Amino acid sequence: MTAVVCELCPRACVIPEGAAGDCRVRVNLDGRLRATTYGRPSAVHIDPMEKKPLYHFLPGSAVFSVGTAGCNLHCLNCQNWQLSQRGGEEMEGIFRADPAELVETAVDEGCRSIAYTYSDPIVFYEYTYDSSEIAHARGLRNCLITAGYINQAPLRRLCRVVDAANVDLKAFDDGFYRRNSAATLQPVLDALVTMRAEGVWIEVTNLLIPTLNDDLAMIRRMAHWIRDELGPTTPLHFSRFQPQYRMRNLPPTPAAALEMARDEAMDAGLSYVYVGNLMGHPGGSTHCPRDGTLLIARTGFWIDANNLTSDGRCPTCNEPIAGVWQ
Amino acid sequence: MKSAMMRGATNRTEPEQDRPTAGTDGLRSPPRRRLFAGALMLPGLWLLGRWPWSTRSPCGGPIETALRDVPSAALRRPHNLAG
Repeated sequence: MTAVVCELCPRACVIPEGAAGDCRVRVNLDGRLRATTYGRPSAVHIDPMEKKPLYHFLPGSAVFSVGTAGCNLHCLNCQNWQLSQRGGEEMEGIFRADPAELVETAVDEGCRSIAYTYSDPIVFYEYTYDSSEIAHARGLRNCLITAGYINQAPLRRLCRVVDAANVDLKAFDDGFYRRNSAATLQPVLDALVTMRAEGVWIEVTNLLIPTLNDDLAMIRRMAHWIRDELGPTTPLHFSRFQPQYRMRNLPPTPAAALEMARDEAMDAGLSYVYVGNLMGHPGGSTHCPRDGTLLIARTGFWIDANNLTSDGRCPTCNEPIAGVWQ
Repeated sequence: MKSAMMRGATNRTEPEQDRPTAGTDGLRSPPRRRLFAGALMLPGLWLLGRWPWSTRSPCGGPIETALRDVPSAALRRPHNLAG
């Protein structure tokens, strides 16, 4: 019996032979660590980029989105728990798509980018990495939609082939991470700083859960940290909570709470703060931080108007707007 | 107990049991026969559950046969996954 240690994420699972790590999909087979979901996604869709959400990265484009079973976090309010809180053998549907096939399908469908999303691409790291390399060779961009709970060495390697990431910063409180997600805060903050240093375009999402992480003082601390460590032009999305999975006892986040959080973060110095998961809310549109001009008008995941200049500037004051526009 | 007495239950005479007491005549006693038959059925049911043996994977499900091609016709359909 040879146990293996998975060094991918801070859990550092010690996996006995024949067993899986905490994520359920990284398995010790005959003394070797195997990623059982490699080339076997369970969710493949073409989504608007705004759904990820990435508002400052190729807006309005279609993104080929792929996810497998498993996750290294166990959030009580997980929105995709049917996918993330299962091992591959528990899924009703598993597709056959090795990295080359995946990229080829994305190209055939006219997508300009691939998003590794739905569960967490960290647990299908090798599949993400190999697909991303091929995607770059074919001229596609790569996006990670992740909780950012990963060790530094594998993250630095992955950053070489990733162009953009939306990182779910669940709260600016280690206790919340421990209670709600069976994880810790610091590795996520470290991952954000590393991605920024490696030149990955970053947007941050914070799902506001009533009474658990909607304290305005905590939101202000989080906004200050983002401003100082990632830069004031880093987009921050406050997303509406819906009762899900093992957290059905709390109501959906009131619109007023999302608006207060947005005001707090903008007051703390962030230029682009959005309200998400709230259809038709004006807080989903992009305005020029200098003169307030409406730059990108959105309804839900759809773009009503894009007034940016071709080089990503405000059409009235010529202010450069941070993002990847081409 | 009080309510049973009020209904007059104490005046009724119970008929004598004419069944053999369990354990006095070995396997011919009905409860033991049922127990024996049940014990015989268990391995049979277990074997039925394993059928067909050749297509089962060691972890309990026919994994390889469940793999499907990516359905290009369904890629743009609405879905309820977040992210």
